[in-house]
Amino acid sequence: MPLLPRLASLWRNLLRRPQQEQELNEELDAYLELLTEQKRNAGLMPEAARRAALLELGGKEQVKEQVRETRIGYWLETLWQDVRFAVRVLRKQPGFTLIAILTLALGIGTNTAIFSVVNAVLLRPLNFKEPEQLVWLWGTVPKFSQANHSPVEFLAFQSQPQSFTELAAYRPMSFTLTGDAQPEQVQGMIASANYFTLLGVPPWRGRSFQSADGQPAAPRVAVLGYDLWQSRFGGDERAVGRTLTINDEAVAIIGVMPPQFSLNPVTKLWLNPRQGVPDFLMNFRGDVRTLREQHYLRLLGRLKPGVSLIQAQDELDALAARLEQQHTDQRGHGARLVSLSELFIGDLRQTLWLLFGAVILVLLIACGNVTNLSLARAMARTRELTIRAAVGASRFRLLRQLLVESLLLALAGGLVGWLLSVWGLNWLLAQYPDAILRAPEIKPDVRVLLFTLAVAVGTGVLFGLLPGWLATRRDLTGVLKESPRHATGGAARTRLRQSLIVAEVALALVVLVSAGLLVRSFARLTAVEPGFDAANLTTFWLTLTGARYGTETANVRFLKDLTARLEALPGVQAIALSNDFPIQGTDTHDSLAIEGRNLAPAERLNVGLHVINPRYFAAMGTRLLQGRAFDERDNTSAPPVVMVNEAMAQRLWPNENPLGKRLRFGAPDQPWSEVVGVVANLKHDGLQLADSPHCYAPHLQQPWPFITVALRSSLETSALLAAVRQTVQQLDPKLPLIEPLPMTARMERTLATRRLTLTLYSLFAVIALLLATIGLYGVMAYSVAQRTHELGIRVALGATARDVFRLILRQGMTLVALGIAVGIISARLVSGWLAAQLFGVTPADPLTFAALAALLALVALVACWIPAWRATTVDPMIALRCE
Amino acid sequence: MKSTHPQPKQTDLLQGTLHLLILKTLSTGELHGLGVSNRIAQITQGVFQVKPGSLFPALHRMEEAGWLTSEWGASENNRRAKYYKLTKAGQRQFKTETEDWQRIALAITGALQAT
Repeated sequence: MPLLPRLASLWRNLLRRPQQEQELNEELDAYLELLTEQKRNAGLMPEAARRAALLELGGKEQVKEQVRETRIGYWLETLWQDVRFAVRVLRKQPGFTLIAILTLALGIGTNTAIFSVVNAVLLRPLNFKEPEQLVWLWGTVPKFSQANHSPVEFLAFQSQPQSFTELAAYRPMSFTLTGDAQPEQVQGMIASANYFTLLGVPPWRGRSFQSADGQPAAPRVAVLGYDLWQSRFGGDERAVGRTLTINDEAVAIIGVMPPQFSLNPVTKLWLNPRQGVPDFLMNFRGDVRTLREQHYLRLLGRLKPGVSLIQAQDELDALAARLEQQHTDQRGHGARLVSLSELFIGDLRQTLWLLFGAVILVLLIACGNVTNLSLARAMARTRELTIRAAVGASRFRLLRQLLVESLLLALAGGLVGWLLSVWGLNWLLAQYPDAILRAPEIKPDVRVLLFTLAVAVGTGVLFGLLPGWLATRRDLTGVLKESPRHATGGAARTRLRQSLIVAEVALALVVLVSAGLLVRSFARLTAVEPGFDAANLTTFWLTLTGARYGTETANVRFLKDLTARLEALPGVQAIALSNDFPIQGTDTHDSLAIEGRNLAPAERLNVGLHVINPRYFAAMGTRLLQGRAFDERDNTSAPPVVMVNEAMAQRLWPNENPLGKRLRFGAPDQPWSEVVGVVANLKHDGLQLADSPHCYAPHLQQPWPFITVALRSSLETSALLAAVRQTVQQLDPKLPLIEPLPMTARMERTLATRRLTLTLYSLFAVIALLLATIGLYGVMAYSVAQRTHELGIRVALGATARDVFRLILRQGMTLVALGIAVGIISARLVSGWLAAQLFGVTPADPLTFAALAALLALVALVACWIPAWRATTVDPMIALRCE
Repeated sequence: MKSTHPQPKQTDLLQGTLHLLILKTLSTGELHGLGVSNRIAQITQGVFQVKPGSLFPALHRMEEAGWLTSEWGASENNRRAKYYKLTKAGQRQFKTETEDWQRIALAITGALQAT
């Protein structure tokens, strides 16, 4: 049949329905009259003619229905009828409808929430041009594969661009903005001139770097991030072209980048390099391009189209080998490529899939509950359905009706679930701002909407089909005879209900055990000894860059003054200065030469390096194990000294006294440093990592521009801060405190992701337990209600209340026991996948399994108790009489 | 008084052949519903007696397909009736279906005669 007339007819059928009905009616009436007349002309009496005509017509309504059925778009009309009918039916049973919708909302909503996160973190590509070509280069040194690069390496890698279209470098840096507005400290970077070209994102205003900006004599320019443009300049269009004073240098603003452009959300500002290669420090006077020992550059690359990661890696390895031959002291430096998206995702991927697994289980439990509810309801409607079948409704039609009802419920549940997930997720992410790297991008979008829709429809079909199928079975006479009061629906349906409950209990146990293991891991993790006393420590950063601190003497003098003044503050007990904070990661690594051991560069030990003040360990509360700590005499005119941690001492000198041994960082022309003390291990890089070797040098001998300050005091951070700020201002009004925080807050940041995962998992476990319990209660209560008659007979035959109670309870708990058994096996299988997330707890931890199985059994007992108790209140006379 | 016409056997009528017959009856002019079924009975020598339950759905179907149009008019004895008429598309359809039918009929007849 041709398409256009069909569509036109469809249109007409849908819109002109009443007129068509009327016309059809008239047409049939006309037909009847003509036929009657025809028969009269053939010789019949008027009455007989009319009757004969009616007979021949065969029933006006039937004919009309047959015409309607052939009409295009008929199924659409009937579907709409089904929907309206379904709404009416559901409204008549608000209890069922409400519970079903809420249950489904929990199941679908949790899935939507997790999928939103998966979508933003795993599925959405980064918002750079062709992000799949972008790679990150980790520097590899002996024993450490996440190092930075030196300028020599950068230039070497950049010069042989077989696999890369671009290779860019940057140096993250802290900038002090002074001048027109309030002095402000921002995080930013000095990036090579091709940085923006590599990322391929056009600027929002003005321009970004061009190759001219990378020439040796190029003037210093800056590109603002969107947020900084808004916060400091109010989004002023004329900001481009203005001059900013950054670290005491006058810098021209040339452009603004779009919102949410950044590898790292804290980067607010980009400066061009002065010599083509990003500066180590802004006021560094030497030739940066010859620096070999300073590994401070981060490298980014864009692969040529068609080049794979492996090919590029091979090329880099060859390059690195060549470099090593040219500069024998390159000590086995190389590069390791990872795709940029991998870097962002990190180990979130596994966490997310785990969470996804949990919510799928929750959804299955929810489906189980609603299926049971639907089964019960379908049983109650058997009479209605059978009568409809008896007057001619096809099975398809009945099934469709029931499916429409379940789909309506599922879509309503999906809608409520969607709302819940949006609010819930927003709230949750606000509680844990540092937990997920791409958190600002987690917004509902089309994909999430489609996902929710698909889940809702799938769920609706799932829990609607089976009960619908069972309810529309053509068992007319049997069903019509059976009294709905004590129709349990036959053995098949009872078994289905019971299997569903067993499955739900099992699934709930799986989620509970997983959550339990994670909780215990977290508890173990936070119980790890960090190696210092984290309480009562107020911390902040200072960056001593800028012209004023250009010389080492100025740097040292400032810190001396600062230390004296801060120590004089009331409430301050001790001060620790360093170049990084514990737990948050080690800023600098280097490989050492050890006196008396001639090791090839590739075999040398790579250790963490820290610059500290003399009172550091005392202030941090770390034990001194051997030898002495630094003091004021260890300055530039004294012989160089170092301290090592226990791990390093054990590694290098397992059976000897480490004191007096000498080691050397840097080039062979550097002097040897003597080990004067050994301290207990500090967890520099994270609570969950094993102890690694670390080495400490006195600040007086190795001044450093980026200083971390930790004040041990009896006062809270908030109380202390004002006085501290004032002290620093007195010394240098332009020097702001960066990131003032209690040490505990810093540690919390490193745990943020874990804590968020844990919270989510526990939430899902509670929901799973709740749903399974409600389901169990529902099934037990229903079963008792249906068996009123049977129970009445039992009592009449002599069963005591106790017997009845025990009977019901035993039947219920048998199901629970079965569920727990299956659950334990399944949980053990699942916990194998969890192993990477666990800390200090084995996947088969018996305590966790036993405790949670017991909890589940207890809660289930309560759920069975009430219906069992209700069963004992059955009055046998009433039970026997009711029919 | 019963009708004196002998009642021929009701043969099953495929929907396709019903369409063909309706197209045929309307190819010579417009008719109302009863007229169509009368004419079909006439031209098939009484073999096909089309009941309203089959006729009207077919007529409406064909109208939806654009092969027929309808309008209300006065019948022979001045009663109101809905008259159906072939459209151009309907005429084309009639030609096509006739050719198809003849081809099928020829093939089946030949098949039945084969040894």
